Amino acid sequence: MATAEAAIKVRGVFHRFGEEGEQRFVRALAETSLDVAQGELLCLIGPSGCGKSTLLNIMGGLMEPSSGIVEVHGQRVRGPLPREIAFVFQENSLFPWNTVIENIELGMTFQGVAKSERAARAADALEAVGLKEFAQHYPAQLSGGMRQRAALARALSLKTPILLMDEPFGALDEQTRMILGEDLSVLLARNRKTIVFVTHSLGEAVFLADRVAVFSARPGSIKQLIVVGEPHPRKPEFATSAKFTSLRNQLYGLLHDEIRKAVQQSTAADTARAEAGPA
Amino acid sequence: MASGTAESPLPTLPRLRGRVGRGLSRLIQAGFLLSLIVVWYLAANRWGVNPLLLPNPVAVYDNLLDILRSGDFVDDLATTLGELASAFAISAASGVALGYLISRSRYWTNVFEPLLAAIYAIPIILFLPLFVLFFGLGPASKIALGASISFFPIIINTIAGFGHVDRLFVTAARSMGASDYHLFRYVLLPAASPVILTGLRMGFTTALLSIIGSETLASLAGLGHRIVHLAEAMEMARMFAYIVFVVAIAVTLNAVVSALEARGKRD
Repeated sequence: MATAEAAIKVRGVFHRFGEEGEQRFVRALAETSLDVAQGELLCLIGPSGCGKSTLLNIMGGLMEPSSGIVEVHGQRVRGPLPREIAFVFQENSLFPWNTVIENIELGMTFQGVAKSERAARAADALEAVGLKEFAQHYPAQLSGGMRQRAALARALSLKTPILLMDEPFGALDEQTRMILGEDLSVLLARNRKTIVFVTHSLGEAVFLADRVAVFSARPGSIKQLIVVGEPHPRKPEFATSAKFTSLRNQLYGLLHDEIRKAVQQSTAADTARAEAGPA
Repeated sequence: MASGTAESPLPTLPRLRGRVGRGLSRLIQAGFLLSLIVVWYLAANRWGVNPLLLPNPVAVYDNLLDILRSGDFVDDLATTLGELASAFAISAASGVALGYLISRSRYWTNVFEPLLAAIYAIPIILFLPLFVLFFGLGPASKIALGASISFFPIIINTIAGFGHVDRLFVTAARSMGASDYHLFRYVLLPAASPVILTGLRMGFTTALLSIIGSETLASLAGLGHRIVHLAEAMEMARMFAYIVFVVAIAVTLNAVVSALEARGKRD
């Protein structure tokens, strides 16, 4: 594959929920085009409901866009691509009736990995996220942070060139997500993957990303792309550097107006719903 | 989801207290049953209650021993258990299969869920005369009735179990390349099985109750039939002995089914 070729190409993707005129009709994502380079970590950040998660699901073939196309490694996406793309979801995507190790091996079963390979790959992945001692635990016996490490291990064990992460640390407390972010940066520096990472956190976006795509309020579109330009793995000191602060401030400035707009939208929608009477 | 974390295992003290508490409540339960028997004994021997209404517990005990020793119960037990096995096999197979098919479509779920719940609320035993007309006085009418009654909790729970699987589990499995078979075997079935197992246990219990109950109303054989037959012959001590026997069988079967349910949920 040509090195200059983008790993993921998004061309004129637009998405709406429902049909025009229906009450639930929503223009989730305005026409968006975007290239994700090989080995790049791209963060998608924006106000709630701006369609960033929708775009991620469309990239991974979990949703069909209303119009537009996505190509992954030059191949048009028409459904899940388990050999190319692994997902890490916000929380609780581990099967609660399986242990951590069973969860990881089951992912490989789905993907079609030979039985003889699964155990070793699962052990490697658990080791990489620091959960070796918890292989036999059930998800309910783990803390939220450990569950997300396990979910990350499951995604890593699939050895896909692309990782799509939908607010993977969104439900965790600030300190836990800081540590997980540092560990993730180290992990990713070790095995260069192409990653798209949806987040709400400005700091997380600057700390992890090579580029940050800032979304406007709904219907979301990319307002600006910011280049971070700092080598991986990112050191904890980066989080206190002047560069980090100025990038974070720049993001804040871009996002602030959009978040206001999004809040006004949802208030307006609530008012309209209240006037329309109980559903 | 449970909030327990691996870093902080549960302290052992509450668990210990729980075990002692459970032992105590078992003791109280046993004491209650024992005092019932004592009151029964006193009523029959000291307070002069008519033995046609309340036979002497010692006579009941002797009859029970005789029933067990002579094997007098074998034919009736075989009839009742045979009816139960057939009825449960029919309702379990059809309830789970149809429930799964209905749960696959949001539309059919919306159509059938309220309908089945409404029918479940009807005392189907009212239709026993109709079942007897259609299937005769023999085991067939008991099987049909038991299967009809136990069908509803099974299919309702099956629809609920398969219908409320977290979407994220399905999405996650699909994203990793799960086939339809994978999805059913590793996601839908384990997600739904606790609810389905509860439905199967409820179905089994209702089948047992309705079969023995209908045997007392219209039948040619079976444990319920035997009890009514003894009552009509005024052999009260032997009738009570059979009641004790049936209670023991029912308790055993329920314990076995509950244990199977718990084991199924653990796996």
